[in-house]
Amino acid sequence: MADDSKKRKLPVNNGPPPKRPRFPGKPQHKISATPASDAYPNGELNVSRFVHVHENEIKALESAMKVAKKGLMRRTFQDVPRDLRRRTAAHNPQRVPTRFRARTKKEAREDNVTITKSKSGSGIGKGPKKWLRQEVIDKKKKSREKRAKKSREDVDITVTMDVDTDKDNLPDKPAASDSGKPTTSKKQRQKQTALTVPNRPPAKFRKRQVHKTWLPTHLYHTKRAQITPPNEPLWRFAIPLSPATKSYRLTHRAATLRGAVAWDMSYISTIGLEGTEGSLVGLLKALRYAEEDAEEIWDERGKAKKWRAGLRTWEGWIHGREGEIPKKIAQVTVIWRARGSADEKTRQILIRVHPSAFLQLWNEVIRVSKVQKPAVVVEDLRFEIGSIEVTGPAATEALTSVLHPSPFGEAGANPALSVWPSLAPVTDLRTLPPNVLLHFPIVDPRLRCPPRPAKMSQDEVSHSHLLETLAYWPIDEHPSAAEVFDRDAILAASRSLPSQQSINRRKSAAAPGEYPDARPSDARIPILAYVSEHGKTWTILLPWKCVAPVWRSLMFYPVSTGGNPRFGGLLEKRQLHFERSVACFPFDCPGTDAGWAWEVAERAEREKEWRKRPRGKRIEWTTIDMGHGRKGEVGDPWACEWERLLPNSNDPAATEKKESSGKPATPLLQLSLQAASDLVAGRSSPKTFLSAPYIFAVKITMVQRGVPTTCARLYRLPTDNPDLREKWLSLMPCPKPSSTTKRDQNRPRNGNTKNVPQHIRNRRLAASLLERKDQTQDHMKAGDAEYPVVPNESSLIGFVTTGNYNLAEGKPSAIANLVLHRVFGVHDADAGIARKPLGKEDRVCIVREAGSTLGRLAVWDVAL
Amino acid sequence: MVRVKHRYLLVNFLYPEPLPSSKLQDGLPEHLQFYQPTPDDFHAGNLKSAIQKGVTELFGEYGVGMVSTGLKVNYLSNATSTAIIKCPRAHFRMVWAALSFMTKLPGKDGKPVVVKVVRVSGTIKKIEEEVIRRAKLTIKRAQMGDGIGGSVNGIVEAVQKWREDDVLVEVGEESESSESSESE
Repeated sequence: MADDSKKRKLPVNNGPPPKRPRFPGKPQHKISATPASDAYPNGELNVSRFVHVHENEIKALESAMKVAKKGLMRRTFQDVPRDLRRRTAAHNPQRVPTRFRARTKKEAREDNVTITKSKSGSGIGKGPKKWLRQEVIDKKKKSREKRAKKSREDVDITVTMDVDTDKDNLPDKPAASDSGKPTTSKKQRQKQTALTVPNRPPAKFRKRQVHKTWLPTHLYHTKRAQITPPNEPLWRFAIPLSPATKSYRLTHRAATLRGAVAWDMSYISTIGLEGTEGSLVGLLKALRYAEEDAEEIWDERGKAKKWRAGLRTWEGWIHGREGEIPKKIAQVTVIWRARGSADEKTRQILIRVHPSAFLQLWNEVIRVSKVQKPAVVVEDLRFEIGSIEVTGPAATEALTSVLHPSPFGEAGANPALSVWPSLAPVTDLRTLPPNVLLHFPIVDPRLRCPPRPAKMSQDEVSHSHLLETLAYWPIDEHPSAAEVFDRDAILAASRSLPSQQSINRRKSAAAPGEYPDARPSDARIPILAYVSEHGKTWTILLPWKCVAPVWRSLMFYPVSTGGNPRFGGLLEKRQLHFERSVACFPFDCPGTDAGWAWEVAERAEREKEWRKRPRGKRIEWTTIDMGHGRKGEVGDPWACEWERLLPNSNDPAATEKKESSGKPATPLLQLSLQAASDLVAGRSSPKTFLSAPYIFAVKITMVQRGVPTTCARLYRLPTDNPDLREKWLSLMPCPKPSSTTKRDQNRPRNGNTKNVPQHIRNRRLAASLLERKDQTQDHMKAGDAEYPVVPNESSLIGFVTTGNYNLAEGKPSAIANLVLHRVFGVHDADAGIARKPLGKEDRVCIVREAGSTLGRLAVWDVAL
Repeated sequence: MVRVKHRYLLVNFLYPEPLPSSKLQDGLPEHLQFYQPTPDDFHAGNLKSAIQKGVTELFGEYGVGMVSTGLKVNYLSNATSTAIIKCPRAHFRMVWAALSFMTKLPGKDGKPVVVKVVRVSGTIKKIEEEVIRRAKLTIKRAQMGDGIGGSVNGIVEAVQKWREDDVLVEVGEESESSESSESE
């Protein structure tokens, strides 16, 4: 015992393993070299040996380079693909992609990093409660087990139980559908004007869809995108806002340079109309459809004729009937169904409208449809027809591979079947006939999953064949009726979709590397594809239930230029519109009720954001110094406050109107693009528009620096203060002549320096250094004491609705709306020269961000 | 991060004297003879001590002190007569000078040799790439049978010929051009 105590204690070896050296020295790599005696055995020199020796040397050095590269220490987060990288918690195994998880864990263990599991997220659940639905899950599990146990115990009872449950279910089903679900029973179909109720979701997901509807691809998006918060759905849908991965620049690239971007646009509403051609045309005319193209839309020739034959689509504004000046409701697409046979009396059309304006349009359409003689049958196809949009150079390629025409059915009748696969090499949709439309049934894309790259032959013959197709468009010769208009076809397609299990069975029975053989009993999914948005995007209409399989296939398509198609959300949609400088409905159209509602919602959102911040860290709007003793922000700083710009803003009528109806109604009127550009070009007189509060969308280009953002205020150059006006105008960059003279001066100095002797060059250099900088040439910088202040509120002409750095143009730009009477009213009052087109000088404006004291010079132009 | 910086020299050993005639084959290309293998008794240690000796001779104790800290032979291939030498960045010219003044391989009856510094670089990767590029060129030349003929008639002629199609030193030119551009 005593001996033991005297013994020196051995070091206890149960601590953590020795740390890995943080910066291990580079391993010594020796480059192998052959000795001369081996290379030339007898000391004999000959060519083949000489070559061999040098070849060996090349190999040795190449391998040395490879080894050296391998020897560098790389951490896992350095190997994560660029768009999946993150900065915070980059080392956390829970936050890296799955394939890197094991490696990150190992590194974390070696580096002795403490890893805290996050308290939020779907895996663990928020707060102390952790699993949000843990109790429910446990309860269900228990009851399931109980049932299983029971059934195992007594087989006889289960038989009777089954009968019982069947009996229970039978009366249940109609009851459930009576309460909510639309049915196809005759009694219900007679009442056509009823709004559809979304399909009854499976019990598991029912509680989460009480106040909203999920898109068919919701489960795909929940894992990969940020979706509207559960309690704040947009237009009664859970809409994906933006992908969880980095996507701003990548979306721009995919949409313009290479790749494709896809959206699930099933939330866009569809209204089906059926009636005689005369009453349908009468209905559209009553709603002043496409008033801006009024001279050609009702023609009996050209594109209007093709549109009515069901071969093209038409995009245009639709108007409400009330009031002496028709109010714009929304920008809608109208598609006619081609005649099946020449003697068909009734025709069908589809109206595609944004959900924000759906109800308003629906009410108008119902009202007008009853007036038509013979009456028009209106159907709400909202949850029956879904849609997918794809844009980008690889869009056609991806779609031709994923949407494979069904081999059964009358093959010769529809020329689209042969045209569609040949379109694969088309990268720019503008080479197709404008607003073109195709329709055909496709096979279930799950049977042809994973999709293979589309066949694109590069030879002369197929190229000329494609050109011929694009030029003559053989489909125009044989119009055929699209199945998408047929409700029975849609229901049949969604019912006949086989389960994933049976698809898997068929796939495993197929020969390796081959798709399963098609069967006549397979689902035929009717689709309709058309080119929209100024020839940039494919829109696919298909049954609601068939969207998810097609979407999954599309997302896994291997694009020929590498990668897969990306997907986008609402923000990406707006971003691409912004990059093209196109006003996006409803966000950039506050002159419509839908746009106004959006604006009101955004105001509340911005105010909430502001209130969330501590008092010391938020802008105090009332103390902003605007120069000349003016204090405080103009109007509500969170709003594009159009109310201030109304001609008689203290008129109580407008406010009363808003209060009386529950929904916010816009006090403004949106001027169409055509009318606005006519005004600017001096082709029409603004007199007719000055009486009403018209606004029109413009594109803002910055003259100097500055990035316009949402809610930024737009001023015209002050008319009441000539000094200030001069000051602002002096900020405009000099027109061309002066710049050329400057270049001429510089040219002899910089152009041929080699020919000029050294001493002259030195003298010139010295002279240029001593030369006094010409003050007038340099522009004043923002923040200088001399920098002009922003004009008064009387010069306010509008607000920016979307503004950012524009990747397509490589400089900041914005979409704004201007109030017409403030822009043109002044000119009229001044000299009565409004008929003259507005020059660049007349279109100069001053942009000031909300909460900023600094104005920036910009030029506006009518937006596309 | 601060790190000690080096220069890497790519060195070729050239042999102006032909091999003993007994071992010489007829029809052997001239430059192949020029690029003879170096005897095996010449190794990295030899080369290093030869450089140190040369530096002492030219620059004295100061030179050796400056150079020997980072001097290292990274690669020496006797079969191809190529070497990569690492040396301190500030004084790589001393090493270069010592190499240029070498006329014989070290040893009692050393072969006459011309040591040519072909490339100077800051990273070994670039040097390795250069070796590969040159080896490829050499192979091509040997296969094409460039300069058919038996023994070398005159070294001067051969050198003349080499000078025409081979840039001797690239670094020197670059530095010159940069200086001239600065003066402008």
